[in-house]
Amino acid sequence: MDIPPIAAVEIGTSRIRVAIGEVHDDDHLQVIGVGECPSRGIRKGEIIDMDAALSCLRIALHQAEEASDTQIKAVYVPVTGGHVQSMINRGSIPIVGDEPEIHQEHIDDVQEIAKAVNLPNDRELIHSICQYYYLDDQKGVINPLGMEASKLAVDVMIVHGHSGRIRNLNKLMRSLHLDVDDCVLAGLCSALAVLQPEEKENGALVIDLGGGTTDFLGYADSTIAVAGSLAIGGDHISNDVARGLRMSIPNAERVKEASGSAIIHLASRLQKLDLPGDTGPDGRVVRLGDVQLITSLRAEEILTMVKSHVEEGDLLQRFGSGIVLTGGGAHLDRIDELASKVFGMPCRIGKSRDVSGLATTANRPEYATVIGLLRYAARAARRQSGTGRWSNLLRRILSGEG
Amino acid sequence: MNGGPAERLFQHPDVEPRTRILVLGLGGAGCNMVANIAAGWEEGPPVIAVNTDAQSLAGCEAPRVLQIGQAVTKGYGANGDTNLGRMAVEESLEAIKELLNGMDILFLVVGLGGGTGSGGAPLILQVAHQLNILTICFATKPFDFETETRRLQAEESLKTIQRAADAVVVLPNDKLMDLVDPNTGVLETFRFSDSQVGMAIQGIWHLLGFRGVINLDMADLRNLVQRSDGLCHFGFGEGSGPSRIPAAVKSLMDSPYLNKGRSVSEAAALLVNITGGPDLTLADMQGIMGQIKSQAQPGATVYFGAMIDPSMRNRVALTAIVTDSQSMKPARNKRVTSMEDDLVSASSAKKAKPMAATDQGDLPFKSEDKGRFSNSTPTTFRGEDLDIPTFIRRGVKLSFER
Repeated sequence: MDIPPIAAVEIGTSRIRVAIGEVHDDDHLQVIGVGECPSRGIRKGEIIDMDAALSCLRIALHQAEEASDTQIKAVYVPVTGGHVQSMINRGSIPIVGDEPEIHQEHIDDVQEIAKAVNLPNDRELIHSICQYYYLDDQKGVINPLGMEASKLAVDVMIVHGHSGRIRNLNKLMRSLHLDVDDCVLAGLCSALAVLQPEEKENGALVIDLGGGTTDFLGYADSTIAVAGSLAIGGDHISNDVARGLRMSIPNAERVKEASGSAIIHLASRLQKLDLPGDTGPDGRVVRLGDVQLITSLRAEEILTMVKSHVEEGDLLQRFGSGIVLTGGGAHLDRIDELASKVFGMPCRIGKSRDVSGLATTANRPEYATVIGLLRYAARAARRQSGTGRWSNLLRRILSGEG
Repeated sequence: MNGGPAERLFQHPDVEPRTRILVLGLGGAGCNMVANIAAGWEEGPPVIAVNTDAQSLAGCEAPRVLQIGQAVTKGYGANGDTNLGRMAVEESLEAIKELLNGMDILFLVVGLGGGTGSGGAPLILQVAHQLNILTICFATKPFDFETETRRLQAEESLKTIQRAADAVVVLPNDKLMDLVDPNTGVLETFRFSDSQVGMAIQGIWHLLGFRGVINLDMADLRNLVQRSDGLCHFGFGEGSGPSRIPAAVKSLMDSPYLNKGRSVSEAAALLVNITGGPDLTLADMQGIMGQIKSQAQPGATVYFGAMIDPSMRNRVALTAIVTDSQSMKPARNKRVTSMEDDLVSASSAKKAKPMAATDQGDLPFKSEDKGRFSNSTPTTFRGEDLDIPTFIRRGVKLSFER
C-alpha cells in the first residue's frame, strides 16, 4: 500500500503553516517538509485580505515543497473561527422482532437519521460525529452492536460553519491550483496530534491557543463530547498590551513573548523593562507587573470562557486526564499553571506524538494543528485506497482509535 | 559633614536597631497606605503589603508584598466579605507568623469597611499578641457618603480590632475632607495623609531604634499605649519659613483628626515627633515641647522624639499620637477570649453579603479602546465586547494610572 505524500495547510491568524508528510506501512507518520510565514490579511481566523493572505501562503508553500522535494496538488485545511458552531442532534429507530438484537444495519440507519439535519442556506456541514447510543432508557452506550433493545437512539454532534468563509478558504487554495481534499475542525486536528488513546478514554480537554482563535475539543469515554471555536486568542493579549502600555502591536508582541505571563510574578513586579524602539510617552517606565497584569487577566478570561462552554452537565468531571494545551499561546509563561487553576485539574503542554522527521519543529505546540491534520489525512487517504467505508473511517478516527 | 548642631546629635552608627519594627498593610486600602508610607522614606522599618488580590498587589509600590488566601479567594479580592478576609489570613497564617517572628512592634495598617483588612486584622493582631509583640493599628474609616453596609461593617470591625490591638489609631476619611483644598485631588490628599502617618511611624522607629538626644524605650511606649483606652488619635502639622515653629504647632492643633485640638487638651498621653532640617536647633525643639505641653492637661504624659531630614531645611513637621481617655477600653485579661467569641459571632452572624465596590459600573468604552480590532466584527460573550482589553473592562488600573 503506497500513499503519496499528503499536505496540510493552516491559514492561521498569526502564521500560515504548511506541513508535508509521508505515511509508512507501519502507520508511522513522517514529516518531510514544513513551511511557515507570518500571516497578513487574516483576522480572528478569517480571511480579510485575499491578496495579502495569498502572498504569505505562497512563501510557506514554497518552503515546504523545497524542503520535501515534492510538488503539492491537494491539501487538507483546518477550519476555525467564531463562525464554527456545533449542535447535538438525536435520531432514534424502533428495533422490532421477537429478539430485538441490534445489527450493523440498525446502527447505520439510526446514524443516517441523526445526521440528517437541515442547515440554513448559509451554513455548511463540516463534520457529523457520533457520540453515544441510547438503548431504551440506558444512556451512554458506546457500541450497541449485538445488544438488545426495543429502541435505539444516537446523539450526533453536527459541526457546521459559514459557507462563505469555507468557500473563501477553498478559493484561496484554488488560486494556487491546489485542490482541497477536506476541511477539518481545527480543534479535532490538535486533539489527534497530542492525545494518547488512554487520554481519550479517561477523558481530556484539548485547548488550542491560537493567535486569532481558541479552539477546544473534549473527549470523554473515547468519544468527542464537546467542541468549539472562540474568536479570541493571542492577538487579543498583544492588543491589550499595546493598548495598556501604548506601544505598537509588533512591540507589544515582543513584550508579551519576553515578559508576559499567565500568572503575575509578584516578586519581580516592580522590575523595569527595557523596551524596544517606540515606547510611547517619554520617560515612562513600563513595569513587569503591568505587563503581566494585562496578560494574566486576558489569559484567565480566555480559559474561563472555554470553561464556561464546556461545563454543561458533569462534563468537567469526565476529563480525567485533565487539560492539554497546544497552539502558540501554550508558550505563554505559566499558562499551564493558570489552566490547572481555572479548571481545577492537571494540565500539560501538548506535544505531537508518534511523529518523526523534523522532530524539533513538529513537537512545538503551535504545530499541533497541521500535524494532527496530516494524521487525519493519512487515515483518510489509506481508507480511500483501501476497502473501508467513509462512515467507518470517520467513526474510527473520531473515536478512540485515532 | 558640616551639619547644624542638632544634626550631629541625631546621627546614628550603622548598627542593627535595638527595637525591631514591622509595618504591615493589610487589604487594598492598607496596601495603598503602606506603599505611600514607604515612598516617603529614605530609611525606615521594613514595610510589607499583604493582600488576597494578586492583581492589586501586582501594581503595589510597597517594597515587599505577600499574597494570602490563594485557595480561599483564588487570587481575587475578598469583595467586602470579612469572612473571606479572615479565612484568607487563616490559610496563610504560617507565612504571616514568619513575618512577625522576632519583631517588637507591629504597625498594622488597614482600611475598615472592606473584606481583607477588616476581616483579617483581628487574627493577625491576635497572633502578634501571642508572640508578645506590641501592636498599634492604623485604621481608616470610610467616608460618610459610602454605603451604609460599608460604614456599619467598619464600626463592627473597629470594635473587634480595638479589643485585639494594644492601640488603635482611627483615621476617619471624612475628616480628611477638611484638608482637601479645591486644587488638590482626593488621591493627593490621601497620599499626603499617608506620608504623615509614615512620618510618625518613622519617628517611633528612630526614637526606639537608635540612641539620640531624646530617647524613648519600649517600656515608655507600652506605658503610653496602655494608659490609653485602646483608641488613639493622630495629628500632624507643618510650618516653614522664619516663624515655622509656632506655625507647625498651630497646624498640628488644627489638624483634622485631632478635633481642633480638643484631643490634645483632653489626652492622657501624647507622643510627639519633630522632623526638621539640618537647621533645627535645640532651642527650636524646646520651643515646640513647651508650646505643646502648655496645651495638654497638667497630668498628661508627653513624650518627644526628633529626627533630621536633610530635605526639610527651613521647615519643620510634627506628628502626634494622642491617647484618648474618653471611652473605656475592654478589660485586657478578657481580651483574647472575648475576641475569639467575637470572631465566632462574626462568622455566624454573617448575613447578607455586603455591597462590593460595584459602583465602578458602566464606563462608556470608546472604539479606540479596541485597537487593532476596531474594524472587525466584535466578539461578544454575555453582552461583553471581548475585543476591548480585559483590564479595561474589569476596571483594573495600571501602576502609572493610579
